[in-house]
Amino acid sequence: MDSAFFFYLSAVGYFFAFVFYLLHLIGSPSDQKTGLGIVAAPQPWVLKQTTWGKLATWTTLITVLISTVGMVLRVLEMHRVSDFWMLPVTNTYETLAFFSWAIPLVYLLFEWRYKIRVVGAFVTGLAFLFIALASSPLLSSEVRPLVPALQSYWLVLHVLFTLGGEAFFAVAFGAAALFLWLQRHGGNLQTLKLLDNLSYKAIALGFPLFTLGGLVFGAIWAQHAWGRYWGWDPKETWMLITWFFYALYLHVRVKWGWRDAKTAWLAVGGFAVAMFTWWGVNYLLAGLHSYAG
Amino acid sequence: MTCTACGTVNTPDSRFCKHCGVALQVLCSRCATVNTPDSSFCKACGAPLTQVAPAPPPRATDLAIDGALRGKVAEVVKVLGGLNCGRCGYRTCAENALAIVRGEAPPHSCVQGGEEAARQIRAILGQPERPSFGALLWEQLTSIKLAIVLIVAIVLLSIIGTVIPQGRDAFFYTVSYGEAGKNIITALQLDRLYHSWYFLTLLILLALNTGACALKRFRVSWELLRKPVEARSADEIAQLPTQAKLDARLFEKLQELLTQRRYRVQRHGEQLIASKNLWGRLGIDILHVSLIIILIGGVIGGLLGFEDFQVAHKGETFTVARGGFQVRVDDLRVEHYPDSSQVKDWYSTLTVIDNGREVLTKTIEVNEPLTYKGISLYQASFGSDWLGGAELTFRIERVKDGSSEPAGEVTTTVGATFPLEDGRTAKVVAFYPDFIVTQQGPANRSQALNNPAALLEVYNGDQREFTTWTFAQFPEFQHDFFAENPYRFYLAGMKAPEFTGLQIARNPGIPIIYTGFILLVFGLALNFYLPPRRIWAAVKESTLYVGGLGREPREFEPDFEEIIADLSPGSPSPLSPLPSEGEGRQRGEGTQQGMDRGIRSQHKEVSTHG
Repeated sequence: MDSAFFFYLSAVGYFFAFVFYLLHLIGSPSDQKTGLGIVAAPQPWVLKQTTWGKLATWTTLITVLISTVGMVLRVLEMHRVSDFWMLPVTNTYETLAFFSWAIPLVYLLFEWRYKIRVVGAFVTGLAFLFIALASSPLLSSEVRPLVPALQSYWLVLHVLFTLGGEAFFAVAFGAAALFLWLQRHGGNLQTLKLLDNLSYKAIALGFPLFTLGGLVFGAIWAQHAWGRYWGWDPKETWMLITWFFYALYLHVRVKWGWRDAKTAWLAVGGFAVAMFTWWGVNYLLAGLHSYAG
Repeated sequence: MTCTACGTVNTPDSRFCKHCGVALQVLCSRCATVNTPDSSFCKACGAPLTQVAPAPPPRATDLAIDGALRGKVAEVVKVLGGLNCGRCGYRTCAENALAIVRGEAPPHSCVQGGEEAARQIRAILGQPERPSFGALLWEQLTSIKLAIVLIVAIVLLSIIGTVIPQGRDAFFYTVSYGEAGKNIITALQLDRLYHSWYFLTLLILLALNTGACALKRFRVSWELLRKPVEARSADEIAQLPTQAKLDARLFEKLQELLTQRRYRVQRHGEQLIASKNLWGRLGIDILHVSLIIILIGGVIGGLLGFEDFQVAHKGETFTVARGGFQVRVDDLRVEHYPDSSQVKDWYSTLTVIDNGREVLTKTIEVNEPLTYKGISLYQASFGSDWLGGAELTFRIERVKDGSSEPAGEVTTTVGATFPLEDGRTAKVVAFYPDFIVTQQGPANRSQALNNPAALLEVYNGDQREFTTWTFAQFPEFQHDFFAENPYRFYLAGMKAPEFTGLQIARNPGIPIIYTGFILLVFGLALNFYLPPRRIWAAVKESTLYVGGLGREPREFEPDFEEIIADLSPGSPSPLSPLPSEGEGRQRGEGTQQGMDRGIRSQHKEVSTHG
């Protein structure tokens, strides 16, 4: 069994977690403890609201473990081919797998800390999308030897921290998107307030990681590999745009007191910018980072 | 007049409820007529009054004021009058006062008070009657609005720069965008946008703005850190944005709980001060200063540094003019992965010669540069000079009576002539490492050895007898297409001198930039992972007042609510996302339910419905 098999399995796992979280989210109105009571119809849901929630959490946790096994196997496979001990962050397939591992992990931390499961559906849905894309025929799961420029531990740190930070942004995005949806469909104020706070917390915690990975390690790696820490390459520039966007978010929130719908839209927009930096730049704009595509 | 908040009956002319302090009058934002708080429209001009009621969220967020500044806030509040009309953009006069004292709002920001209020406020703040030009400039420079406008402008320009390829020649832009497009691009410097005067101006302005903001902020931070946290009375605690009223018997337990949560707790009789992570406040100052340091490093690197590219063959010596030394390429090597054509690494062994003396020899590879006198040589690319000096080996066959026999091998170069067995001569006319046929005829697709082809001419004396193409990957081409020729040529070997591509760069800004990086990460971590917390508690009339300040009210609220929930165990956590059973579940009804234990937070009254 190779890493691709475990990643494939994790796609299945995240799909089930997504379904369970969704059932938990839309929930039955008769079970008042955690349900949002969005669906007016009485009780078609076989299991209780909280049971769906617990099932979703455990499925996510187990899937993260499966994904971790995939990661470890991938490291071994890469060592066999390249003779380097690297983390699997050297091409699109690997970064997708890593991201779909990091997002649910970060989310579980928030779930554990804030005792709220409603964001789960968005987050596991995202993780499923990413790992499904990686496992699809569009991308090759083959382990290829590393080209010279990628043989640097700065690269590992660069991608690790950038995507780690973006995993927090993904959770913020999930909370913000749910906030906007619930606001239109009559969510109660307590939940909305919690989602608003969660979204801000996730960005506040992710921002330092993103800065360290994207700006600092990225620049150090570029300095090591090409002798210039900054070159206004489209990928670098978009990374800076993403950074500015989240810096803007933090400023308007803290200094101007923007919150709720306004900041929720910004959190959604920020994640869109981050995803454009990752994907759009590779496919629409040209630059040094093109080998990552 | 009856107070809508607490039901207390006040005298008709009261502006505030004598019991709870809530405003009893609503000021029309258009004509300033006084209306009753339950009016929907102004009785004088008919303008809707509703926008005053769901007041905008507070702007002065961390209310981080202590000591002398706190006294000034109280004085300014008195001047502002407390009508809470909201026309200054702040929800309450107290918030506007706070912003004025902290320098975030100008003294003349109170619309109701007008010039007279501005004069009195300037007196309180010790500012001159009329703000000087410098003061106005400083006010603009330190405004967050400027920062946001600058960031948005920089972001938009940056996007343009990623869409229009940078640094290409005029021909490229003419081809891509037409003559008119090229003219616009060159006139607006869009072809080198990141180095254009206007982009650099924006960056410099942002740096100045960041620096000014940091300086202004630092004065407040320092004030706070230098002095011990002062005790606050129950009434003062009740004014805090995040506070709760509890049973006075919980006082001891609160002290214990805060100690457990690693707060530094001081007790003065019936008053309690708890704080932690106060140094976390400096995070913002450090990180903003670090951004300026990074920019300074960038400017120094841009002014004093350089970037160059050098191609060199094995054995070649070139001069690094900027460093006044020479570099000799001793050896070049490509390493491939086993059983693969994939390159694993490129190596160049370089010797630095300074003043005729060999001072340093190092084998560099990708990600492993050589540095001498502050100048670094990076392994940037590698290649074989197929177009310059390819050495080709041909296996020759002679065709006689329909059968072919070997006629030796020859190694030669492009342009050279070599003899054949019977006195004829052959000449290599051209060599294509990556042959393709285009509309203009045979051409070379790349410098790589993807489809090598050679064109030869055979002479009998001075007479050209025939011309022939030979392909290394398709040897059958020779006997299929040139069957009648007396000679056949097969490409048996190809060699070309290898060259190394070296990026030569010196950047004296690097140590400064890296210092900035360290400070940036340190500042961010301090700010976001060690949020400052201050909590006050005081007992008054058998009620325990607890309140606190964080970096931001909503950022602090969940922590605060957890503490309050821990204080009264058995009750459901205030963090539970939904009202528990028995509480209202219809839209909007859940609002106040979770706060039954007396937690009052100003922000909860702000409607979440957009």
